[in-house]
Amino acid sequence: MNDSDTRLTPFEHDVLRKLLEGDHSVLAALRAQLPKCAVIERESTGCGFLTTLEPSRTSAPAVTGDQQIRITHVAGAIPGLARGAEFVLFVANGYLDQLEGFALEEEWPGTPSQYTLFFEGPRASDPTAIGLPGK
Amino acid sequence: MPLPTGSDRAAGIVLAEPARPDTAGIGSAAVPFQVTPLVLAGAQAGPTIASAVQHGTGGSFQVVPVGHPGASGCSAPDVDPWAPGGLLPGWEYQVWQEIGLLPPDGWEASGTVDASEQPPKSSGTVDDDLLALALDPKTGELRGYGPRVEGGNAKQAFGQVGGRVNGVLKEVGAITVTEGAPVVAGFWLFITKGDDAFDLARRFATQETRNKLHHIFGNHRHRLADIVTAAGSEEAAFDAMERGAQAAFGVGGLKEIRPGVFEGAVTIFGTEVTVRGVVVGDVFRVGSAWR
Repeated sequence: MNDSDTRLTPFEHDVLRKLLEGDHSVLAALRAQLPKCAVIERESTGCGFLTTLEPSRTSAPAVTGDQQIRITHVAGAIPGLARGAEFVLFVANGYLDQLEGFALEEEWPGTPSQYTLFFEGPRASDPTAIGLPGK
Repeated sequence: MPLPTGSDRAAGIVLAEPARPDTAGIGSAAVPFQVTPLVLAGAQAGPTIASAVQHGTGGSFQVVPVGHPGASGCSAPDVDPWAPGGLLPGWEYQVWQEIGLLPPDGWEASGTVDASEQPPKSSGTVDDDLLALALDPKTGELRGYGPRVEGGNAKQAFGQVGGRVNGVLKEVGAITVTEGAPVVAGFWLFITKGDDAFDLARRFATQETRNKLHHIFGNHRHRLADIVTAAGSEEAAFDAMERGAQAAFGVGGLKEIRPGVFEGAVTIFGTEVTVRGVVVGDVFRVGSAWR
């Protein structure tokens, strides 16, 4: 991957920002990892994508309590996807690990240029409702 | 290429094509699959299969001794997997013979490979009976094929499925079986009792579903490897996942996180899995899953 490939695309960055939105210590710690976060692998699975991340280890890890956690309940309205898209952020050992996106019915349309991201489920009313204790 | 006869048929082997050094093309024409230990154990217990071998690519293969003791003229295996208390209790299909998933280009069909062709009409004899089902991986069409005896020379012909299978697709896979010599190969559907296999067979044959299986099970972060092992294949695990999710949805066990999109925990092979998907016409469709 060349330098531009290792940078987050605007879409990936926006999705990550949305996933990490909210006044919670874990979200704040993960947000702090974003500026120096590199992409080490991208995979298109046909129905979605996987972007594997490598944040700078000089950043402090988030105190998650578990080796792996998931930050979820962010969805996207994307042209061509009648049911929209879902996003999941995997966090390993307190660091950003992988961003996953998937369409619910259709094939993944590729990196979208137009999209609207929004909270769903418990985060629709409380963005900090990420299934972890504390704020 | 000769038709399967006698012990071949009793062993559940449908000759697909002669041995060749590189059989990767066979596997790539079908959906991914993995060994189901129960089925493999059955095959090993069968009297006419010497061994099961793996292709170079495409995963492991499963083998089952297929036969039906009631089939006219069929030399049934010593082990009847469908007998009460047999190797595969509760499994059945209405067509009596082998079930095979075959790539269209894997046969030297002397008949016309034409979906509009009518299946061989059964006369109650072996050679006129529907022998197997073939799933066209390109179109998802499930077809029956059977041998015909014309002038003493057996010929193969494809046709549409003549009957509905009373079961749900359990496994899809390919086999390579060494029965003395030569090596023979075929693709197989394993069908369990109780449902309609056709939709599921089509679903597993589509690129869309293959993508979904890869998306869900190919990502180790989803931590679903144990479930695939327990289920025997990704297809079986996915099937169990959808059934579990459907059952949960039916009793209000899934939460609607936005209009039409549901999420919840279902227990599959003793493991709790989070599934997320959409409901279309009261049918839950898994989008992704993890634990």
